[in-house]
Amino acid sequence: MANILELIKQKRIYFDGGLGTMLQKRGLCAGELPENWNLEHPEIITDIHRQYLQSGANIITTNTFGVNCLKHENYAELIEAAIGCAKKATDGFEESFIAFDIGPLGRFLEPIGDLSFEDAVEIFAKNIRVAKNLGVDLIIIETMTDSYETKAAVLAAKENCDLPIFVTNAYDESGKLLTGATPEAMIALLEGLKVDAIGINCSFGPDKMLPLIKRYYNSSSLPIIVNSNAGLPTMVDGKASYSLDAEQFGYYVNLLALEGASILGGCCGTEPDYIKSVVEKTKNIPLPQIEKKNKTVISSYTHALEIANEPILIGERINPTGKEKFKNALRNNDVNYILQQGIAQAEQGAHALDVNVGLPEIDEKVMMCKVVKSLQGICDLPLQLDSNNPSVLEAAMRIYNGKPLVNSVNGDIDSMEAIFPLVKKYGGTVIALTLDKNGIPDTAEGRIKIAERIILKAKEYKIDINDIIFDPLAMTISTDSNNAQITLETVERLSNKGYKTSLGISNVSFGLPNRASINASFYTMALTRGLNCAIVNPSSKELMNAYHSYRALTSMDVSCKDFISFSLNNDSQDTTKTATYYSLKEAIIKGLSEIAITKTQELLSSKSPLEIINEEIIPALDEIGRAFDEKRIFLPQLLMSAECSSKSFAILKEKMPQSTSNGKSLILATVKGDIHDIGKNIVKLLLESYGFTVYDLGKDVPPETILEAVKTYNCKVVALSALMTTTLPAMEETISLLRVHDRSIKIMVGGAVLTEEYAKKINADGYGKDAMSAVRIAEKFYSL
Amino acid sequence: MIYNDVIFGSVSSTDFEIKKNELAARLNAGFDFENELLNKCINEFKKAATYRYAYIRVPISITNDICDFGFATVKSASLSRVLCDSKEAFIMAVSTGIEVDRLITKLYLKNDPSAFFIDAIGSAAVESLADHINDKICKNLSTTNRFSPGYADFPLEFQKDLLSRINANQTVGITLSEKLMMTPMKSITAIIGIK
Repeated sequence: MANILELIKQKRIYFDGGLGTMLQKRGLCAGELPENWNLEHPEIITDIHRQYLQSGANIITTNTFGVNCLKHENYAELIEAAIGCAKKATDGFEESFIAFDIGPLGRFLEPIGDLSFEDAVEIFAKNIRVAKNLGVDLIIIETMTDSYETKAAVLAAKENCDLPIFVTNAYDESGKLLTGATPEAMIALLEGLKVDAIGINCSFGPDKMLPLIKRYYNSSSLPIIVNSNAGLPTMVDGKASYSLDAEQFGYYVNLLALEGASILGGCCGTEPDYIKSVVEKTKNIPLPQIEKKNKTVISSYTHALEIANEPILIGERINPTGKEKFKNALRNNDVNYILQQGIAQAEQGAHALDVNVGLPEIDEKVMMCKVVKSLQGICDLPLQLDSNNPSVLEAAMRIYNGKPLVNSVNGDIDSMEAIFPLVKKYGGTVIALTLDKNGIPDTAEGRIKIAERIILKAKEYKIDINDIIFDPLAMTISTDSNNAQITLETVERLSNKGYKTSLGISNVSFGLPNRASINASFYTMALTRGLNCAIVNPSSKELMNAYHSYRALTSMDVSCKDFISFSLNNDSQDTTKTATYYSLKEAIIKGLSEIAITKTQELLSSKSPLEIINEEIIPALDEIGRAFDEKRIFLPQLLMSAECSSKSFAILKEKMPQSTSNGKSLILATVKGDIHDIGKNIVKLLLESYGFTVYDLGKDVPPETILEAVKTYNCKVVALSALMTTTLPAMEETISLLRVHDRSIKIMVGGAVLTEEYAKKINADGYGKDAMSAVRIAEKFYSL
Repeated sequence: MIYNDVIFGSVSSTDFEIKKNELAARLNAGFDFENELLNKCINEFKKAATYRYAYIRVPISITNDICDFGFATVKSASLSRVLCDSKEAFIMAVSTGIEVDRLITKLYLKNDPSAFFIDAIGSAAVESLADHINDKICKNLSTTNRFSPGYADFPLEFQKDLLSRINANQTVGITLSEKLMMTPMKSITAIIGIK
């Protein structure tokens, strides 16, 4: 039989239509699982497949969409039966293929959901290991609404079989997956993973898919699949039906074929006559020319970032080198501090973030994975994974939700042999340093030679030149004043050859005073020589000025819009710092945090931290607390004031590191199974505003972890939160565990579903009906 | 696969208003509470949110406090009271999407008090969205109040059957954790009796 990958290049190939739709016609009840019919009614499954083949479909999809070991103990049996049905059906049909169907698991992956990435890979792998030896022709991974789950399924397929892999995603009307990815992001991810065909299925009707197909055609170098629904379902006379009939469906799919879709078929609501209509209307349309796009692209879980004419800023702050605070955060496992660095750089205008967490005394691989996983829950910038250790890079590339920048490979054969296989397997754009075993050549010529060698070696791994960005290495001019010139010449010559370049800008000024100024000038010079990416500190005003000025001067910034808004923003930040009409007490009461910070700093020149706390902060908090109790102000105002006083406290704490504020501490957690933390976070903010040291253990915290914290911090005041009736038992369990350990621990509880009565019943010492009362109870515990 | 009788889609933020009374209740504030930060947060919320829904219309029968929806049964005296005059019911789910969860998590990390505002706005918005869809599908019908798993003695376990029946994973983007909590956080499921 013909190879499917060869055939799709020669002629138009068709998928089948909806299977579930047909099963419901044949008596499958709503709520019943279609895959069970593989065993109960195999003859019907075979018959439906055959109807599709008779209508002109070439690829039939096995009835395994909903099969996985989470749902079915007998998943292997269901898969064998499904493939058996398909094989029976294809008997006697020329050019017919069986696609082994893989659908979503129905659970979100971490950090959004509770399923780990590796567990997801393994669940998909189990299916593939059963299917691969049973004579299927390809794997179709379909209806994926999450980029991360898509990646898990593709990796499972790549690691367990050599079959062709087709992938289709389901978008919503805004043109995004449910978890946020755009078509361009999916194309970057899937082309990086080297699948064989990609496209769209389910979602909505072909009448609304034209814009998406155009985007696929403009960005992708792979054949495009479209298996759409028969329109959107609507209610007619109390009954649901899809909006397009077979004739209309065929008409719209024909338009998609004209815009570049290669492989056509149907999904929910489509039946054999729909496929027949599609075949009739499109069989004479020539296959679209698929051009190789030659773009350098990286991606995050939401968007793709093309590295072309626009200068790209890669934030350098997630890196311990020379940063004592950052090193401490790594040693103390303080991931939040690292995440804050990421968020701040995103807000300052970085386009991507370098992530380096290498420190000799910590487990770099564990930390790297933790940081990458956490960052991709909250920050949508693409990441540049940065480590000297290939095994750390591999772990990070595996769990990265997108196509990363990989930092780095160099001209040394050992480095290339370690890094290129990773790029080949997981996808990525790699930063290639123009150095080798002999060091960094001191001429542009020497560095370019290394670059050419890297390109040749990469070819052996089928890594495209577009997936390599050269870093010709900025060296400090304080040791050799020619250094900058050599680097700039290399940038220019590489750029003239059409290669992409990146530089770590700040190295150039090492050992000099007024570094920011040199960095900014060097950056501008490099940009004029063709530099694409720069690893920089986006909080540097000089550097950002250089960036915005360059864009304004090279007509990238139309009407200088970005430059003006950047400049105005900078100015307005300066003016808030001089607005000092209010006292600190007033600023806290009014919730003006910028002013509270300025005022605190000012007051420190004339008063001790303790005086400031007693004369300004405590009176402000008393007043605002009283107003809240008397319902003169509301929760939002209370929170804003609490935020101000916390910021003020933070500044004062730095001035008196030994005696942390009031010396009172408290352990705070939302109990196991409960993922709600708004109540807990409000309490935390308020307690901190009163000077408590709060050990926040987060949400979904097992009793044992809380006990562990009591021991570690030697803190005997614990506050527990629960918002669901289903998690109240976990609260009770936690209290008993703590009581067994030490009867003198003081425990307060709170949360929407709790009552004073229940609190007593489960042996709590206090019940906080709201955040203010939690503070009062905590103070009472300490006054006993 | 999506069952043939599931109606689903999305609406835009201009199709309905975030109700002021819902917002005031969530913020623990006065009905007319307004400030600059709140307005900024509402805008930020709207940038992150999507408004998806799915529902079905099914025949029901009730005997001895056991409600039979065809695809599943559930024992609940309170639900039976609500549905006692109904022969059919709508089963629905709505959500404002996962981007809101990400936004709130990010703001908490920054210790930014707008996290609390966005959280409250999200709760108010998803309730308003549920109202909007409720009104839209019940137009010209005589219907009961909305009743959700977890209310009174209506067991939360029913979320499993409910969500899988309307293919909520695909149609609205809701999944359930082991402890029966919905992701995205700002999601609502409900049953409405048709009298």
